[in-house]
Amino acid sequence: MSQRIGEQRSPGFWPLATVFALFVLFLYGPMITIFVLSFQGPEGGLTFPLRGVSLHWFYKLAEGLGTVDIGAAFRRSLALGAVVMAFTVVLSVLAGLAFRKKLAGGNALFFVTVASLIMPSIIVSLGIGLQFRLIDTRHQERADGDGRDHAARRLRHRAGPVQLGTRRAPDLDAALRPAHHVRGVQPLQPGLRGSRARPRRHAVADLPLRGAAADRPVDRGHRHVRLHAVAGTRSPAPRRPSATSTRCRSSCRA
Amino acid sequence: MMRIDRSLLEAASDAGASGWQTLWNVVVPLSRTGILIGSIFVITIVMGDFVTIGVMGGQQIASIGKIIQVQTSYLQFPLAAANAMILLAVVLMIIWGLTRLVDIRKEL
Repeated sequence: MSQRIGEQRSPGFWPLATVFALFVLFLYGPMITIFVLSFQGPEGGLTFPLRGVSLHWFYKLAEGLGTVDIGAAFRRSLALGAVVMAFTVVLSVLAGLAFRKKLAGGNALFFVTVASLIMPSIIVSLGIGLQFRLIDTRHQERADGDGRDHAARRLRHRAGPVQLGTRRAPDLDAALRPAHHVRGVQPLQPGLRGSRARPRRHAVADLPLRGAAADRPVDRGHRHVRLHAVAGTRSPAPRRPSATSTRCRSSCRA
Repeated sequence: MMRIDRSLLEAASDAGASGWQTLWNVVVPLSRTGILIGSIFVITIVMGDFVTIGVMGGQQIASIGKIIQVQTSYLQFPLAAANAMILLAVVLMIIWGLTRLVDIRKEL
């Protein structure tokens, strides 16, 4: 601009150029630092200048870290990025087409989109995990009565100690029904379950946590109801770790 | 800024404006939309960020994102969700105020 209107650079050029150079340095400095850091020698840490320039750490990366497979991790990230890119492109083009004219609810849509950027990703990912867990639980509950729901049954059998899938109430009816001949056990009416196993109206969602509940594998296949052969007592329902008790435990501790 | 007509700058210079006057009276008002959209991006990202602040502040600085992360790590999920809602409300109000300053649709 200044070179077209005037013949030489205006006096404000050099200070502004210096400011710009400093800004670029600030912007790319961290990246350059990390780049230099990757070429450290074997005993180099976070020190500058380099203690021995070598490709040592790249070799270490290539031979693998033992338990972690870098190639598979990269492929997974790449696949995830591609899928997210596809979804984003489709939705953005549709939104762009929609916003050409005055759109009813366009303001609300804009703020909802911005809102998903504002929330820190840990809390958004928590919401996503919780949402799909609730949907899954509701789907499982609806599939309870229908014995022909093969997908739900397969999911139940495959659910391991990470507490995926449903929180099945223990089938105490079937366990207790033939036991009426054992001395001391009060006969239960069919359909009356154990004290803690009533069908949940609100879904208690298990979250994938590295915490107390996730470490203890839930005993899925065999629920033994121990029948006390003592006069008058009825066996208590087996205590299982539930999300509520985990929460109380952690908050009581903290 | 690339879409600003060059002839406007020439006209400003012809009218006797110095470089700074041209900048303040012609360029900045014409690029208000871009400034606003950039500000929206920066505010949304920085308000929720805690990683950079933590690394640069030695994990001693409590930004709102850091509070949410700490509460999540202590499994206090409803508390973290409430904090996130307050953060959301404040930032949405800021953005709403910014969009009031510039009518995006008209400028674009």
